Amino acid sequence: MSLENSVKSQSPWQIGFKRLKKNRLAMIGFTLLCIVVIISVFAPLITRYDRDAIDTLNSYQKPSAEHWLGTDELGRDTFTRLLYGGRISLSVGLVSTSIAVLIGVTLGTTGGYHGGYIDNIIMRIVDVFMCFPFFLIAIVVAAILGPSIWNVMIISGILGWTGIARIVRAEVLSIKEREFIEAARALGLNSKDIIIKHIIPNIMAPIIVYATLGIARGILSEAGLSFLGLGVKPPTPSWGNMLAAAQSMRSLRLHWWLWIPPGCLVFFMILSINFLGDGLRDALDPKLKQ
Amino acid sequence: MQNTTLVVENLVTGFKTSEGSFNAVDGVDFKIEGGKVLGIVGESGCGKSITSLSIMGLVPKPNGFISSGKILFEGQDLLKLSEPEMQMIRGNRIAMIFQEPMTALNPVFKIGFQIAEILETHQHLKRSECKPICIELLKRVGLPRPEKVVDEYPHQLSGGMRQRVMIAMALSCNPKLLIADEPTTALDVTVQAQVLELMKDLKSEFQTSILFITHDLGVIAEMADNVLVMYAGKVMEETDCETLFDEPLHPYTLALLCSRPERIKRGESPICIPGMVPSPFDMPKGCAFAPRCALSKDICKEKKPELKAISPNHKVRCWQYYSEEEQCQNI
Amino acid sequence: MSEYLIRAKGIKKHFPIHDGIFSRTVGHVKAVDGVSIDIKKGEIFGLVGESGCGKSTTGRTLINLIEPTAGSVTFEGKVIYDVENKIAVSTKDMQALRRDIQMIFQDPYASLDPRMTVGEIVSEGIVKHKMAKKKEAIKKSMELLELCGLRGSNVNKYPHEFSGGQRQRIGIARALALNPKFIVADEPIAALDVSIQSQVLLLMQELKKKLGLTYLFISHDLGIVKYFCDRIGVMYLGNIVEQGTSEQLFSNPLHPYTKSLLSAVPKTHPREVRERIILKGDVPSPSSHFEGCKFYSRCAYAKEICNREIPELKEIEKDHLVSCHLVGSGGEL
Repeated sequence: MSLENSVKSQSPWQIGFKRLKKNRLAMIGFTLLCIVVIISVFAPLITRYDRDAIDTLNSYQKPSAEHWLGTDELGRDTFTRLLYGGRISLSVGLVSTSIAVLIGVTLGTTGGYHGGYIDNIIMRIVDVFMCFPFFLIAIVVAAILGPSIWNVMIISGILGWTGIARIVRAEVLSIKEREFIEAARALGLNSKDIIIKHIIPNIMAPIIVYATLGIARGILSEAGLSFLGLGVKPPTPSWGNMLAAAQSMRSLRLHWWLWIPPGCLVFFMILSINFLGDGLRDALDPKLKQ
Repeated sequence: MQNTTLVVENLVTGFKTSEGSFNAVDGVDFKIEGGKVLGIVGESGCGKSITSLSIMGLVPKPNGFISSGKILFEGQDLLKLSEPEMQMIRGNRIAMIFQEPMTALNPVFKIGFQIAEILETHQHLKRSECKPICIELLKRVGLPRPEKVVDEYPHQLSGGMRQRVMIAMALSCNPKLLIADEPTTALDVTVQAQVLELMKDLKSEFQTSILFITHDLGVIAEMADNVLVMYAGKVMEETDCETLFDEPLHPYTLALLCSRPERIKRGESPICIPGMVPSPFDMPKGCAFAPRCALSKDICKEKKPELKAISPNHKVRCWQYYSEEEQCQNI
Repeated sequence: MSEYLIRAKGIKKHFPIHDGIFSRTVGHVKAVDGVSIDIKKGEIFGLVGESGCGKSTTGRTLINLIEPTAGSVTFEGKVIYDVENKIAVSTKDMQALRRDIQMIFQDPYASLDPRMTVGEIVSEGIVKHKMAKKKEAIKKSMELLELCGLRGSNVNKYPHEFSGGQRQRIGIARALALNPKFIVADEPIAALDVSIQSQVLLLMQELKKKLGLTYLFISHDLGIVKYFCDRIGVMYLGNIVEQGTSEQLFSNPLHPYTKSLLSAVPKTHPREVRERIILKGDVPSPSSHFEGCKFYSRCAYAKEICNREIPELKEIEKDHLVSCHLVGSGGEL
C-alpha cells in the first residue's frame, strides 16, 4: 500500500513519452528536427541577408565567411534561402499531413465504428484512391492548376489519407469490441460521445506515429515535385526547387554548394523524422504496456 | 527412494525487470512419488507456474533465471543438463499440458501432424508408421471419431476436445512425469469433469506421476494425493490431500478453504481474506501473509518463519506452530 | 404487476452467419432462442450455463445493449421494446433509462478505458446525464470509490495502477454512479483470484442491502450462484431448461442437464463420494436446426418424443419450472 502512495500517478501518455526518452535514436532525430524547426522559424534573426535580395555582382560565390554556403546564379545567399526553404518544406509536410489525417481519421473511424454498408463504401473509395499513381496525378493537377505551394499541399494531402484511414479503421474495429465501449453504451453515451471520448484517445498513438512519418513523406513529395518544377514556384525557395539547381550539368560539376546542402537537409530531416516515428511506435505501443 | 520420480530441492527462480529483480519462486522443496499426484494450489503470482516452467527448463530467458537449487528427475539433475539433452527429456519423459489448448496447438497444422512430430522426434518413428499410433492415442483419450480428428485442424475442435488432444500429445511417449498447469481452468464444469476422469484413468493405467497446478481447491480434492499450498513464492503448507481438508493448519489455507462458496450458507456473508497479494517488489519483512492474516502477531511482521514439520507428513510455515521459546530464540 | 422490476418475454437474438463473396446470410447462430425471465424487485436472479449457452447475450439483449431479434421487455411497467408489436423506446428515452439499468463486466482489464483517470471513468455517466457539474461529479465519484472500498484519493490515478480486484471495484463504482435500480453483472468475479472473489461478492451483497438493488447475476460457477442468488435459471443452447429458487434447484434438480451439471462440480472434500453423470459428446452448434429438445443428443434418458417435439417450460411446483418431456408427465428419470 505504501508503494501506491509513493508512486506519482502517471497517465499512459506520460509513461509512453518516458519510454521514448530512453530511445537514443529517436531522441537524436527529435533534437535534429527541433534545431531545423527553430532555425527555420527564426531565420530573419540568424541571417542578415534578404531571402530574395539579388546581387548579380556576386553570383556563384564559393562558401566564405561572408556567404557561409556561397551564392547562386543571381547572387542570393544560399544559406539564407536554405533556412527560408525549410519553412516552406516543413509547412508543406505539416499541412499535407494534417489534411491526410483529418480525412483519414474521419473516414476510418466512421467506417470502422458503424460497419455495414457505410464501411463498405468507404473502403471501396480507399481502394480507388490507392490505385492513383501519386506522381502522375500530381503532375497532371500541377499542370492544370499551375505550380504552387498550396497545390502541393492539397494534392499530397488528398492522395495520402488512404493509408491512415485503413490503419484507423482496423484499430477502431478492435477497440470497439472492448468492454469499456460497451460500458460507455450502458452508461447512456451516444455514438458521438463514444467516438470522441473513448475511441479517438485510444487510437491516438498510431495516428501520431503515422502522422510523423507522413510529414516525412510530405517533405519528400514536395522536394520531388519542386525538383520537377511542378511544386513551389521560384523565387520562393524550397529544398526541392533548390535541388533543381542540380539539373544543370554545370552547377552539378562546379557549384556543389547549391545542391549538396539542400540534399543533405532533406536526407537528414527524413531520417530523423523516421527515427522519431519508429521510436514513437515502440514507446506508445499498448501491447508493450504491462 | 527407488520410486521417487521427481525431487526438487531449494529451488529459487528469479526475474529481472526494469523495476528491479525479485524471486518468483523462493526456496521450494518437494518430491513426487511414482504414480502419485502432487497438487500445487495458490493464487496468481504465487509462483506455481514458474515452478513448473523451471522443471521443464522453460523459464523465459533472458529475464528469468534459476539462481539455486536442484531438480532431480529419476536421480538426474535437470539443471546440469545442456539444452539439447533437455530437449530429449522434454515432451518425452516429462510432458506438459497448458491452460489454453488453443494457443498451445499450432493452428496451421493438422492434429495428426502435430502428434506425429513428437513421435518422430522422440521415438524415431517414420511418418508412415505414425498415423495408426495417432489414432490409437486419440482413441485412448476418449475422442469421438479419432480417424477423422487426425486430419482436422485445431480450430475445428471444441475446447474440451483440444485439451484431450493436448493430453494425447503429452502421453504419446509414455512420460514418467506429466506437468498439468491449470489444465481445466478454461473448460466448462461438465468438460472439466470429463478431462479429470480421463487423467485419473491414465494415471492408474500408466503409473504416470502428475504435477497438478491449479487455483481451485475443488479440483485438488478430486485429483491430488499430496498438496503444496503456495503463497508469494514460498510453500506455506505441505501435506496429503485428506489432511489438508480435515485439519488445515496455515491461516492462509484455512481462509482459502473457508472462502469457497460451497462452505458458505445462504444469507451469510462470505469469509474474506482482506487486502491482496503483496507486490514482489514490496515484500513484507516478516511472513508474506502477515499483512492479510487475522492471527498475525508481532513476530510475524518481524521475521520470516521456516517450514516446520508438525507431523511426519504435515509441514507448515507459520509462527503459530512454534513454541514460545522457539519464537523468543528467533527474535 | 408491480412486484416485478423487469419482465422479459420470449426474447431472441439470432446472429446472421455470412458466407461467400457477396456476404449472403447462410444461417443464424441462435444465441438466445426464446428466453422469458421475470425479476422481482430486490432479488438476485442467477443465470448459469456453460460457455456458449447464450447467458451473456441474454443479459445484454435484456437491457437492450444488443438489438433483439424477437420478444419484449418491460421495465417497471414501461415497455423497452416489443419486437412483435413493433414498439421500441426512442433513443433518447433509452439513454434516460440507462440511468436505472447498469452493468458490471467480466474482464476488469478490458472494461476500463486505459486513457482515462479513475475519476473520469466513474463520473462519466454523471456528467453525461447532467446530474452534476464536473467538479461535483468528481467529488461524488470519490464517495462512490469509498463506498466500494477504495480510497477516494484514487480519482487521479489511471486503471493500469490497480490490481484486478480493485479494477472490478472501480467498475462497480461506475455502475453505481447513476443510482441504478437494476444491475446486470456479467461474470463479475470469474477473472479474479479466489481470495479476491469473495471480497467482491461481499461488496455486491452489502451494496444491494444499502441501495436496494436488484441483480441479474450471470455466472458459470454453480457454487457461487447457489450461495449468492435467490432464483436461478439454467441455460442450455439459448434456452432456459430449468428455473427455480436456489433451494429447489440444488436440492431437487429435475432437468437431466441440471443434474449432470451439478454432478460435475468438483468435490468439496477428497473423501466425498459423488455420483458423476458424465455427459457424452459435445454441445451441438447453436446454428443447427432442432426438431425437438436441444439436449436430446446428449441426454441419457432421451425418449423418442424428445427428438420430435420441443418441450415447453412447465411449472412443476411453485416457482420451479422445467423444460423436459419426461418431468412431471409420469415419465421416469
